[in-house]
Amino acid sequence: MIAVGVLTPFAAFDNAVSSFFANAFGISTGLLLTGGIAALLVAYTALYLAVALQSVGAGLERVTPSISGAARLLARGPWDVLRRVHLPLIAPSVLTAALLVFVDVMKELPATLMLRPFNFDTLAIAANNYASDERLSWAAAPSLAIVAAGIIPCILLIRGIAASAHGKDVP
Amino acid sequence: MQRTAPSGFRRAGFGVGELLIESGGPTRDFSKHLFNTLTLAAAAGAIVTAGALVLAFVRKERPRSIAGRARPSPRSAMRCRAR
Repeated sequence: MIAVGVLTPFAAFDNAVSSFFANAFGISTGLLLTGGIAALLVAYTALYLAVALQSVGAGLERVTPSISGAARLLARGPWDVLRRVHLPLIAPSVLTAALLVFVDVMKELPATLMLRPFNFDTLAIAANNYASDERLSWAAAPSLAIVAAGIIPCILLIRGIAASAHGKDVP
Repeated sequence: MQRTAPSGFRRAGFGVGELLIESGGPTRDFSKHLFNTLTLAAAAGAIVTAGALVLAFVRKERPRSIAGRARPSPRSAMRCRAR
């Protein structure tokens, strides 16, 4: 659903820009947005923003308003406060959000299948292609790679959570 | 703490590993697929996390600016009070 929602306006924009340049200057711009990974990244943002927002929001909730207030009293702007004060404090939450999105995007199939550029196959698409062709043994390598690449961030997350639960510094 | 993988997971892993050995290793496009996947996941992770950070920060600093009700103007507040 999200893939179709992203593809429709992006394709319309690409067509409009392409026809304008073809009529005005006689050159073809091609597919500017749908020909690359821009449409994919927009779809991933729509899909996984809630996951990242939950983790980052929980981290920001722990920062008391007095800390922001103290920074603002020192004549710092809001973005400077975010960069110099909030970001170091919530770095573990931000890292957790990035890892969660990374793992989810690695194994994402439907949106990638619909929005990927030509000749741009990921491991999930390769595994799907081989499995749909009944070449199950060929699908083993990409499948295992997806699992392995998903497990490493999870191990890091679990170790970080366990370390913070025991009062140690998060790696 | 349980240190060994659950048997269901191990069995599936061994099964897929057997298939991998049977196929004679990864295909020649494997490294290209792996590079595409890692590039895409890293880019998406960075962009989505940066977006979430900005959104959460703006929501914390100005709670009414995103997904919140705008403050009513004094005139509409007076009208509501009169009703």
